[in-house]
This record gives sequence, structure tokens and C-alpha cells, in this order.
Amino acid sequence: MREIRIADIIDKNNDQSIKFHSGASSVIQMPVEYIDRVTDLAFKDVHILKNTVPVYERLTVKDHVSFYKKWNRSGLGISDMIRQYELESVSHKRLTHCTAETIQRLAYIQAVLADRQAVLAVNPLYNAGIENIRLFHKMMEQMAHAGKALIVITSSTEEAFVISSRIARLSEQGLKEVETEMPEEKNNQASLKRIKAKARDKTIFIDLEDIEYIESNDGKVYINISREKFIIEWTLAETEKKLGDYGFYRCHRSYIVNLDKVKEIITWSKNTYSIVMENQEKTKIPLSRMKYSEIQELLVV
Amino acid sequence: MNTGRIMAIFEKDLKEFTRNMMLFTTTLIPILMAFMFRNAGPDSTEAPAVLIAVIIGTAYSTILCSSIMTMMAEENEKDTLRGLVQSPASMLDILTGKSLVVIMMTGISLGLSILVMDAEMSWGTGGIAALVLLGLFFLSLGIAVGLEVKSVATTSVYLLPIMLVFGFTPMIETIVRDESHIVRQVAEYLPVYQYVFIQEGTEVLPLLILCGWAVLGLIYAAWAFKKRMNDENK
Repeated sequence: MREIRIADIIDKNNDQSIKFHSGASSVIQMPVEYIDRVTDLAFKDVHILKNTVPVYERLTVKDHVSFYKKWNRSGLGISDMIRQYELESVSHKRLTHCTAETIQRLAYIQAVLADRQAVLAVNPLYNAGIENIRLFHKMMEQMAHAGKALIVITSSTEEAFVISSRIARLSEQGLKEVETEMPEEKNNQASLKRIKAKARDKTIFIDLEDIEYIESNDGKVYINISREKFIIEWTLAETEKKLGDYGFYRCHRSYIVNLDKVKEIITWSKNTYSIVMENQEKTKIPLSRMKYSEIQELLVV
Repeated sequence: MNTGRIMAIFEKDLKEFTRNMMLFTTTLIPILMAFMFRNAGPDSTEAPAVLIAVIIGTAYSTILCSSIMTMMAEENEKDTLRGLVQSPASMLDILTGKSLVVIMMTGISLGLSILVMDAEMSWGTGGIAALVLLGLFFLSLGIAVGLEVKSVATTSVYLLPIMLVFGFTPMIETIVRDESHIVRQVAEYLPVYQYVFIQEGTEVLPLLILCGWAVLGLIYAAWAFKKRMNDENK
């Protein structure tokens, strides 16, 4: 199969490469600049799947699918695809009147119908609702079944974990798998109700109950409170130790959640789980496979 | 050339054509003009060759040339061809499919117009060859511009001069009355006039001139195609 050399992406000496393996998929988190580079470098016979797709606005959903099926000489059935991607209710609607969600589903369908064997998905879940994330997983299954090679690149770690429990990260140092197994640690300590954080030159104190979740990224630990991030000086392990008794739970190698703010747990596929937070954006926090049953016990009386 | 793909494009663009008011109304223009001309001329005589030539020029420039130009421009503007064009062959499939749609629509519209005019036309080999060559000229002009422009709005910049110079050529007689005027002399070499001459009886020279125009159109289209494929491969 074809490959994209990492050295071309990061402009540094590196002998790794991103490989397209038939029937397999991999998820790579990387900074936005690298995403643009990879998209440019992708060879001509890769189908590029983005979070949306340009459409013929005067055609109906069904006409559109039918055109792509015929163009690509795909053996898949039109009505079958429309049913699988839950577009039956809008199949006779012209695309000018369709929602962004519908058009995103057409992007997934086009990627399945495309006659190319390699697919590069670029931030595919940007703006995706829960239903579309589910359909994206269905699309991945269909591609694996058809022997297509899929590489997903995304700028957001959360999004990457929504797609797969095993992800890699591309940085200046090259391509590295993100570790998700964590050492077991337990400690009891109860002495604080607030936590010290830094916002530029100020030191602020944050009530524990306001915290939604804590994440570590690039060696730094951030507290997330309603769309804002603040750096704290502890490591994630220290934070876990100190906050363990206040209803915080280490649900993933890089994440600690406030159990009070957990809204629901979603199973995307075997081994891929997310915690949905009770906030405006319904942030999806990755949940390790090992922690899946433990957190459920903690969440109920 | 891939028949399956050409048919896929044909079906899609036929749907788009009939649902796009801007394109669909162009098919009515020659028919409306035919009604006007039928009533305008003297009652006893049948429509002169010049009027038929104006109808043909209008049909070819407003439907054949402008529709394919607009359809390509819309694809360029919305970037809908991005996933489809992998090779020059697939681009040719797209152009062929679209051409079939506009040829069909022009044929229907022109046929109805001629019926409305109720004109005596000579359907000899010369007349038919002239129609085909004229069509080839306008079609390749439309394709060439369609490959180049980036948006639908830009097409009108190209379309207006094409319609005035090539489409409505015989109209020059109503503006410049002096037959020996240089403008009239030059106009007599433009493609639509050749059709008038053929209808009037002379065949060889007008057909040769028409061939020349068709070849020029094809060269322009080929050049635009090559340029576009180079851009795609960047």
C-alpha cells in the first residue's frame, strides 16, 4: 500500500511513515499545520473525506447518492445506503433545503462509494452530532469490510479518542502511539476544597465543584471550567491523588472527570467509549476500556 | 471514454438543467424570438434566410454555448468536481456528458423554433454540415470558457461579447446600413453569415470558412483543457 513520509510533513529527519493498510484504520492526532501538510501530500488516488462536502444543491439526496454510485460503478445499493445512513425521511428533499448534518452523512456515503481504495479522513467529526459519530463508526466498519484503507487525522485528542481507543500522535518528534494504560494508584487525603491555578500572570483559586474535567496535554495539566482552560502545577497523578476523595475520577490516562458533571456514557463501538459532560458543548471525554465498568459503579448510589 | 460515467453525468446534469431556472429559461428565448419574427415579417413571403440564421445564432449562443459554460462554472465555483477528476479521461467523460445535455436541449429548442417560423429551409448536405460545424464552434467555445472561469458570475463577461459578435451577427445589418462599410465586410466572414450564404446557394467557400471557425474553436478548447489538467495535477 501507499504511504506518506513523516519527514515530508514535519520537515525533519525521520524515517517513519503513515501507511495505508488495506482493511485497516488508524487515527492520528496532530497540530493543524501538519493536517494541512498531510492533506497536500496525500497522493492523487486517495479519497479525502472532510467534515462536509460540496453538493449539487438542485439534486435530491437520493439523486445525489445515485449519481455517485453510478459514477464510481459501486455495487452498493442506493436505497440500502440511504437506509443505513438514516436519510430515508429526507431522500426526496433537495439539498439546498437539507441540514449540515444530512450533508455530512452524504460525505460519509461518498467516501464509502468512492472507487479509491485509500481514504484520508480530515477532522471528520468536526461539528458532528452524536448520531453522525455513530454513523462514522458504521462507515469505518463498512470500509474495513470492503478492504479499504482508512487514515483519520484530527487536531483534537478528544475527537481522536471518540473514533478509536488506540490513537497515535504526530509531533515534531515524530509519530508515537498515545499510551492509555495507567499504573494503579490510590491514596486518601482530605484537606482542600479549592485548587490553585494560573491564568496568565494571576493565580486563581477554583472551587472544586466548578471543575468539569482535568486533562493533560503536552506535559501540562489543564483544568477545564465552562470553555476556559487553566494550567495547574501538579502532574495528573498528583491531581488524581489529591482530588480522588472529592468525586473526581481518572477515566483515562490523560483525563480526570468530575463525576458530578458526567451526563452520560456512550459506547461507540467495542473498546471505544466516551463520557459526555453536562455542559454547553457536551464535551466528550475518552473513557478507557478498563474503567468502563468501574465508573458506572461510582456514578450510581 | 467510459459510457457508464458519461450516462451518470448526463442524468445528473439533465436534472440540474431542468431545475435551474437560469438555464431552463434560455431554451425559451429562440422560441419566443421565432414567434416575434413570424408576425413581424411581410405576410405573403416566408421568413428570409437571415432571420433563420439569427434564430440559429441565438439558440447556439444562448443555449449551447452559455449553458455548458454556466454548468462548468458552477462546478468550478462549488468545487464539486474535486473528487471526480482523477485523470484527463474522467474530465472528458464529464465534458461529454454535459455536452450531450446541452446538445439535446438546443436541438429541442431549435426544432420547435423552426416549426414556429414555418420556414422553408434547404436540408441539403451543405445546410446540415453548416449546422453541425456551427454547433461545434459554439460548443467548443463554451467548453473552453467553462474550463477557465472560476465562478458563474464571470461567465457573463465572456458570454455577452460571444452573443453579440457570433450569435446575433446578422443584426449588424440593422445597425450598419452601408453594405461596403468595413464592419459589414468583416462580419461577412463570421460563422453565422456562412449559414446565410449556404442557404442562398453558394456552398464551398462558406463551408471552408466555417471549418476554419470550428477548428479555431476546437484549438481553444484543447488549449483550455490542457491548461486545466496541468492545474489539476499541481
